[in-house]
Amino acid sequence: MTPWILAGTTFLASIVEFVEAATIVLAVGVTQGWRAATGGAIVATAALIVLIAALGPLLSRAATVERIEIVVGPFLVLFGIAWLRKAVWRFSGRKALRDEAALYERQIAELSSNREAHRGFAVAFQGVFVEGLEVAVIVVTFAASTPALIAWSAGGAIVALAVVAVAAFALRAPFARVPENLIKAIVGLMLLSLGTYWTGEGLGITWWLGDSTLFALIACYIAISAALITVSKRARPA
Amino acid sequence: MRVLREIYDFITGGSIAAPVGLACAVIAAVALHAWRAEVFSAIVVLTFIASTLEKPN
Repeated sequence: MTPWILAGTTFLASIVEFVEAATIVLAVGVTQGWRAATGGAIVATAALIVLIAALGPLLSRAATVERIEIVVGPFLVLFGIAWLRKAVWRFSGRKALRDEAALYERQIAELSSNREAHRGFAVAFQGVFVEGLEVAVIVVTFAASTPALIAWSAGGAIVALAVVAVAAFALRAPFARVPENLIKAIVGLMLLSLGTYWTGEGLGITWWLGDSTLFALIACYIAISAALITVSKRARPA
Repeated sequence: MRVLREIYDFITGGSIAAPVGLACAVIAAVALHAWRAEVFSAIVVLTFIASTLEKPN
């Protein structure tokens, strides 16, 4: 494999992972604050650097990723359910929107939003950590046949990171104009779908459609959420 | 006790159905040899539905 083809392949493979991580960080930033989002992303990056420096040679074993998935996946499922059900409650009117809260409720919401900010940090951390680890595995695995080209392989991933970072920064403002509850629903949907997929993969499940199963899970959760909103709205007395 | 409650609420959003359902899904996936993907995803989907039907906290 020529150096340019290797770098291009790593670029394409890792840009997908970076887009997933950036979407999570962007969504957390808009809903839970940029401090939680960037904090989680920075700490995850630092943890990744330490991990790669210490365990670099072991990363070429795919089992490492599966072990990480089985630890992180269930947390994403639980976080995803917590966010998505809250969005469903708000869409259906079972729970008041934030700005409708009374003064006392606002204080309670403040405490709750502190907890949510911590959860936002954890979500940003997990998203960046798992996707970053996958990129590290891609970089090491692609260069496995020609170890002298590891710098080209890493270079492709670094360029992908730069492209996604610039795109995410540019999209920050338009993203912030989307209604908060809708973003929370999208984040919850992503976390729940990714969590289901990763936990299953970590348990050794072979998904029906491979990576595309993720889209099937997203579609399934959208349909169920829409049905739950409709049912909850009908069940509410007029 | 309060700290444990805070940790529990932090992870689960106060839901009882979510951790119980997820544990059932994982146990089923480990125990089964066939239909693992179907049973696991079905239990997680049911867990989400049950959790959403809980009383808002």
